[in-house]
Amino acid sequence: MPLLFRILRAVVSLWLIVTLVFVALRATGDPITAIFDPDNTSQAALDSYRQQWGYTGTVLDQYIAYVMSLLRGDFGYSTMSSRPALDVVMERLPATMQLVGLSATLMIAIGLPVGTMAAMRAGGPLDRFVMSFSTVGFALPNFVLALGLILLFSVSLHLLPSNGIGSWQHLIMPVLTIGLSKAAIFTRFVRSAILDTLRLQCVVSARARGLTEWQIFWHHIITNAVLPLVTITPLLVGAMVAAGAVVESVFGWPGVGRLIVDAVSQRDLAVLQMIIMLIALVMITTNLIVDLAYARLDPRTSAAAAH
Amino acid sequence: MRMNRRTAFKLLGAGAAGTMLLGAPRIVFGQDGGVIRVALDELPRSLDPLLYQTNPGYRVMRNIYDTLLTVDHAGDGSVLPALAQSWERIDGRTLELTLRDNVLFHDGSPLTAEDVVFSFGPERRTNEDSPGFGTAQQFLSTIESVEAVDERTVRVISVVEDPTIELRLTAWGSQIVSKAAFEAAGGFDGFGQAPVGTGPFKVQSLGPDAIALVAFQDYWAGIPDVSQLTYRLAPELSSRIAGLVGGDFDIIADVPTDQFGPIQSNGNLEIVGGTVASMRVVKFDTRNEQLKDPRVRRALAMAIDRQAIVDALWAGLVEVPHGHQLPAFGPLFDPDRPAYVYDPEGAKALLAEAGYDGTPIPFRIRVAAYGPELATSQVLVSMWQAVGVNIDMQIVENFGQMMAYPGTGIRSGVDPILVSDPLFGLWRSYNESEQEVWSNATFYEHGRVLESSLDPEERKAAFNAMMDIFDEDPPAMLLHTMGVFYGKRKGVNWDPLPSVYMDFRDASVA
Repeated sequence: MPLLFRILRAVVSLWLIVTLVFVALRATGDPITAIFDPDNTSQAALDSYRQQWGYTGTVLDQYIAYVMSLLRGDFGYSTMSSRPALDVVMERLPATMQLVGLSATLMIAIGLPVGTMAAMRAGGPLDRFVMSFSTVGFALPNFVLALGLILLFSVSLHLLPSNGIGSWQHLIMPVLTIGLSKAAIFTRFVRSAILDTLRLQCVVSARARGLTEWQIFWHHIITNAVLPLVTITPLLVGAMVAAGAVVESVFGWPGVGRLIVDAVSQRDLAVLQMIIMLIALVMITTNLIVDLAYARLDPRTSAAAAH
Repeated sequence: MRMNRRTAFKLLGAGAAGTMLLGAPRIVFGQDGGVIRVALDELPRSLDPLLYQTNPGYRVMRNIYDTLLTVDHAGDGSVLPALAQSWERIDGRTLELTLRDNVLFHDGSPLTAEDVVFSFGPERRTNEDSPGFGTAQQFLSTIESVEAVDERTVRVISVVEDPTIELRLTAWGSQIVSKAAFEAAGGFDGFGQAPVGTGPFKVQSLGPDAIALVAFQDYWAGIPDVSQLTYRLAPELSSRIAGLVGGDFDIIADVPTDQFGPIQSNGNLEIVGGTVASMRVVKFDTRNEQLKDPRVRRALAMAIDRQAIVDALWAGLVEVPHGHQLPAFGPLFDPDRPAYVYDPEGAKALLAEAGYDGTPIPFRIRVAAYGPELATSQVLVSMWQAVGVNIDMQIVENFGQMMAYPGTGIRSGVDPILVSDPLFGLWRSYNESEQEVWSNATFYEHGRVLESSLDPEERKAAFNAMMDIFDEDPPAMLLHTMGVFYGKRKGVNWDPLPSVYMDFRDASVA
């Protein structure tokens, strides 16, 4: 598939997402009365806000105005922060990226070796231990794990700050919460990917050819197992941003996840649209990269596309 | 340097992973005066009072700005001097105020009459295109202009004869800002990020996770004892409590009564707070066929055991007011007004007399907009059912859905009383602006007297008549006052006001 077509498809997806979000947010009620209690706000004040924030005219009028300003590179104005929506989101982005980046590192650092070891000794005591632990890991809701960590490290041991951002100690508990829960899922994926490759003919024949277990592992198992893992990793990273909504609330972490929750409850539509566009953009780009990586990791996919 | 386990840990860890990930960690040095760390569920994103109101704003900005006059919230609600040291009525429309000498803004510049005029002027308040216009409408809509007489004297002129000009100058939106700083910041958005007021604390930093204030060394009323006041974002109640118990916070806001246990069981912590100037009500829409008859609305009010709700859901710590009034109304407060009666039999009789036929009445609520809203609503529904009223309880998400007509009936609400006068309580909540929902011509007549009469006795009579109508032809029924509770370290000396504001002018750390 030519790159240009892929990019065009990505732009159309983005536009569809933005439109859906725009309509859905306005269909659930007047944003002005969602923010202000009309019992206690005069009509003059409500009208003034409506005018200032551009909630006048029909939804279609507002949509056209919105798309026109998007084309001019103007992402709207945050009613909650009295600043451009782009600034508000960009200010929060580094905190979330830090959290997600470290959590993803932790997830891979745990999931890859543990999942591999479990698969290599499938059915053994280590495998059974890892599998039961990972079941507990992904069944445990994030907020329970988060509060458990706070109870242990902040309330009982007084070792870590329970809340906020600014030092590496602040990172430990949020990263553990997200990283461990996603590692539980990732470990299972690694295990089953490795188990699948162990049954491949090339592995069986390599063994018959008398290669060492180490050579088989590096040349045949890992190269084949990496394909499903490349697919699942971006999805898990996406899920980490979603998990951020809860985890960032519990730890007072000023990231994008918490901003989504606030923006929905305060109907800060420009900010919400900005975040959703950003997440959609990241997911679409990641998918593009995964597609391209596939071609490189598995020559069969690019060969198939060429036909 | 104050060394505790955390700072020691930071130092030990400084050479390890910390430097690799984020550079050197911040090392906390002990302060000379006290440090107070307050955890809120939400932080203001802008510190211009005309841009950001609501609870987080009340809790932070009260300590950054001053008004010309202030109110004795904890006492009888009388008006006290603040940036104006004295004031005098010229006539029904005009108030002349003399500014205090030697008041400095946080940037070191002196407060002048020009700053006062600017704070109430077109750029900030009266121009309809000004971002501050909407907020200023609430309490300052009747103020026509503010003029400088000389360097130290200003005149506030009202559009109409107004008995409450003084009170309006204590209200939200009447904070005095520095004209030069506002203009230098390029207007509202910039000023909201770098505010300059005259209050006891000045802003050190404003971020999405914390707002740091430091004591203003030139504060006109004396340097506050607390040298550093930090507000931290902690949206989750359980993490606020854990942070208080774990020693990360000194005060946490919005603790519901069912969470008092973990705090009170800790010898270093306590619960403070109580009633705030806000009435928890249930509002009626008289367009609903069943609610047209005032006897049905009176019966709904009689069927409720308010004290039972207060005892069960508020640990008995809020009050059931006698009429839509607060003691802070001062001379307008009537201490002899009878209490509301709980009379299920009387309610049944009234319903029969009104010919109520059992048609379900819609009751719209949100889940947790007003404390234990869902639990309160469930209690209300069962008490109404006990007298034979069928209720169709509907949970909605926002006000737009709450007000969607047709289909309205009863709904949850509060009447906040941000300024201690019934003009800003009973009258503000039930004036002509919502007359399609409920209207009463006599009530409106008395309301206009309350609005414009300069005779305290006449105002008192009008207010009493309005409270009578509120009970006889109810636009709403009162349940109780709202309460706000804080968890606090015992070593922190701070008395919450019976109001939505948090004021740290007199706070200290033992």
